[in-house]
Amino acid sequence: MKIFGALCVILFTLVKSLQAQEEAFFATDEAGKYVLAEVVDSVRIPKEEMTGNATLFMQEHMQGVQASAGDGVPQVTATGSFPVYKKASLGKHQDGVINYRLIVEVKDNRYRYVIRDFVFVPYERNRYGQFEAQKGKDVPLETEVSKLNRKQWEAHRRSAFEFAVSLGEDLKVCMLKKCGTSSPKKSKERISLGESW
Amino acid sequence: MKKFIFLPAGFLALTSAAIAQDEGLSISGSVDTYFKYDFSEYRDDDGNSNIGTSFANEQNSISLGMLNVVLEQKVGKASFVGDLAFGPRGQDQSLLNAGGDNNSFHIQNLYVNYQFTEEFSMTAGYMGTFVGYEIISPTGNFNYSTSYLFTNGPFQNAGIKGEYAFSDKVGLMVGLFNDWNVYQDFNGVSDFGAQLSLAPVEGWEAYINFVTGHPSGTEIDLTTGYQITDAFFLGLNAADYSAPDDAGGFAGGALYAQYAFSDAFALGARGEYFEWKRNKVDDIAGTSVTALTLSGNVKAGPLTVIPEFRIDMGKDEMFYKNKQMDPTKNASQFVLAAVYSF
Repeated sequence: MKIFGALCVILFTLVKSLQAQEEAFFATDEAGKYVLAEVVDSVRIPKEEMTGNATLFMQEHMQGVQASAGDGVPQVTATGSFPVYKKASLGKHQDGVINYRLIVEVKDNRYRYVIRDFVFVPYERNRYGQFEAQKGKDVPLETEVSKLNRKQWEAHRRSAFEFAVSLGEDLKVCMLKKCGTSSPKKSKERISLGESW
Repeated sequence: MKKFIFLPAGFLALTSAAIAQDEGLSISGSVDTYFKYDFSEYRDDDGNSNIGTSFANEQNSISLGMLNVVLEQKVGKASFVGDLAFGPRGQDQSLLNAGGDNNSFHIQNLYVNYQFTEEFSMTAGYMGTFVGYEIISPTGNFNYSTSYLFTNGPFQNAGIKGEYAFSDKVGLMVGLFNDWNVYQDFNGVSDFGAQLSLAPVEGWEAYINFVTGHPSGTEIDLTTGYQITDAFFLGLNAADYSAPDDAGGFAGGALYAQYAFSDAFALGARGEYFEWKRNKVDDIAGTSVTALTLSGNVKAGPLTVIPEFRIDMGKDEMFYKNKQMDPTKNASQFVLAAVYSF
């Protein structure tokens, strides 16, 4: 009976947790554009080092990295993209890419990152059987679509949100230390397998 | 209040450029079916009606297009595409027929590619032609019936080609190809083909194509499309072809205008002028035809339903106006097609 009760509690907690996850989604700014933003404080490394780490992170994973200082607040921005897929019963293929912009602003002992400007670029199969971007058909992720096409669209929105959350988590790790291939590598540890051990 | 879900660091999917890296086998394709009604009710012994452009040719019948299955994979710098089609559109209506009995499958694409650098790649095998605006797959055309330019041009070119991207606005392809639409060239591979691709501004692409050889002939072709606004698209195809030894040829132009009223509905018009050149060898006079097509695209996820009206007006009496085969200069038809893309 006790075991049964414990299992019920565990199951109930799991269901509530999943429900909470399903509800999480982008916030929107004043213009109704999707935004994922977070302020991270109590950071005990210098402002310059945080700016350098943000720059390094963006250079490793994104394009068009630009540094500026608006109102005296150092800021680093870059653009990136990630693929989204259309699932079929036999396999999956790329349905398009979603472009986005990452902005990191740094102050004493804290920083703020903002991920925004999500735009879907659809792919279409060309005469050679390959999928390629349909030029000039960018669709902002905030766009509402008809009921006939809503399911796939909502799936892409969900993929974008999950990607953005993951990107934010990776950024937070790299803000505290140098990440990327250009950062100094640890030398490989050597051990001796000789007689004295 | 902002809400986040926590995912372990390192869950990052892809933040680099959107070029596909190593991927598993991709399977995609399409299925299509249609109904066509020629208002003259004329039908020949093969069940076809007046307007003789490719596909959508069976009169007053729920007819099959094709099942198209495309396999694709990219590992590192190497990739392949294997693209097969089954059904009338993909079999004898696509000209080639592996079994020679009008009922075999048809290869649309079968090639390997190696991306030497970001700018340069080479491809070898059997490929959909680089010439022309419309293609065999119904997923790549807005209209369901095809143009005269498509019907009379090449469908596939087997060969080897190199492609170089000078910038994101200019690219060049040159290659050596078999005769048009054959798996094997019995004359020795000797057709030369080239393509200059241009992207002057975002949303506008243009291709100048050239292919020449014997006995295939020589075609020069302009294909261009401009997504002028999010909703309005304009396309143009113009071509001139000469068969070898003064055996005729063709020339023509087609204008495509499409307007997307929503993500679920778009309307498109195609206006084409097509001319058959005089065939001096067989002493066949040239003639011409003007074709006007109005098509709708109703999209529901992977399914596109295409209602279409078309009228062709010949310079000469090239059609039949009734079952009794009384000649006439004009023909008209209605098509309702369904295309499922996966």
